[in-house]
Amino acid sequence: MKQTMEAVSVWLSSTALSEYIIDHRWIFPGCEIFHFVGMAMLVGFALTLDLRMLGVAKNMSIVPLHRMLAFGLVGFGITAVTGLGFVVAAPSQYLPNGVFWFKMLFLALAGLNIGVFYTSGIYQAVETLGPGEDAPAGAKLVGFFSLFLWAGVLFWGRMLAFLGIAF
Amino acid sequence: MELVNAIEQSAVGALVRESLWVYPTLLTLHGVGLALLVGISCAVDVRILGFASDVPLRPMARFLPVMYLGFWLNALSGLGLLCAEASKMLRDPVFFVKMACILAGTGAIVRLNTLVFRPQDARLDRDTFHGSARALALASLAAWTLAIVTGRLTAYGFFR
Repeated sequence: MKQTMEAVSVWLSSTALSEYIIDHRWIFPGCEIFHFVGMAMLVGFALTLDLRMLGVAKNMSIVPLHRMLAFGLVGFGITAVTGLGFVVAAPSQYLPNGVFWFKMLFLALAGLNIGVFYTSGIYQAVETLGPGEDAPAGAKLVGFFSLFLWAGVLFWGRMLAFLGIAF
Repeated sequence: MELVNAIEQSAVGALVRESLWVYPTLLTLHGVGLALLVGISCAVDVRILGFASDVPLRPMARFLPVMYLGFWLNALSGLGLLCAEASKMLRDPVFFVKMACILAGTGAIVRLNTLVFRPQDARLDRDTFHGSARALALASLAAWTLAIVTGRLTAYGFFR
C-alpha cells in the first residue's frame, strides 16, 4: 500500500501543475492562508448550528442558522481546493503518510454525519424548532459528532508535520 | 535581544520545544481556538453587515462566550508557542503585524459587544445596522483575515 502511494506520489509530483506550484514559491503559503480562512468559516458556521442543537443559544430558531451554513459551504470549497493544491504540490508528504489518511477518515465521517442529519429525518425534526425549543436526542448526537469530528480533522491536519513522516 | 534568549531558554520555552507532545498539542489548540474565535466573530459580523438579516441577533449573544473561549485558548497556546520560538518570532516583523491585527480585531469585537449587544437596547432587535457597527464588523473581519495571513507567514520567515 505504502509503495503504491509512493509510486503515485512520484507520478503526481512530476505533473505540470505540481511543478508549477513548487516553482512559484508563493502559491503553497497562499494555499495555506486560504486553507485556514476556509477552515475558520467551515468549522465556525457549522459549530453555531451544532451548539444550538446541543442547547446553547436555545432562543434562536434553527432555520436562519441553517441558512448561514452557506458560508460554511464556501469555507469547505476553499479548504478543498487549497488542500488539493498541497497534495498535488507535495504528494510525498501526504499520500504515504498515515496521519493524512486519518484526517481523510475523519473528514469522511463528518460527511457521513451530515448525510445522516439530512436523510434520517433529523433535519426535518429540527427545521421547525422555534426559539426556546429543545432539539431531539438524535439531533444532539449529530451535533456532538460534528464538533468531535471537525476537531479531529483539525487535530490530524496539524499532526501531519509531527507524526508519521515529518515535513 | 537578551530578553529574547531568556524567554527561549526559560523552563516553559524548553518544555514546549523539547517535549514530543506539548508543541503539536498547543498548535492544535491554537487551530481550534482560531475556529471558535474567528468563526463566531465572522457569523456576527456578516449578520451586522446585512447578510441573513432575518437571523435574530439578540440570541446570538449566547455564542459570544464560546468566541471569548477561543480568544483565551489562543492567547494561552500562543504564549506557549512564543516561548518556544521567541528568537524566531520576536525578530520577524510579520509577527508584530499579526499582533497588531489581533489587537485591532479584539478591540473591534469588544467595542461591538458594548455597542450592539446591550440587552436593554432595542437596537439589538433591528434588522439592519449602520455607521460604526458596520465599520467595526468590517474591521474585525479584515483584522482576523490579516491575522490568519500573517500567522501562516511567520512559519516561513520570508521577511526575517
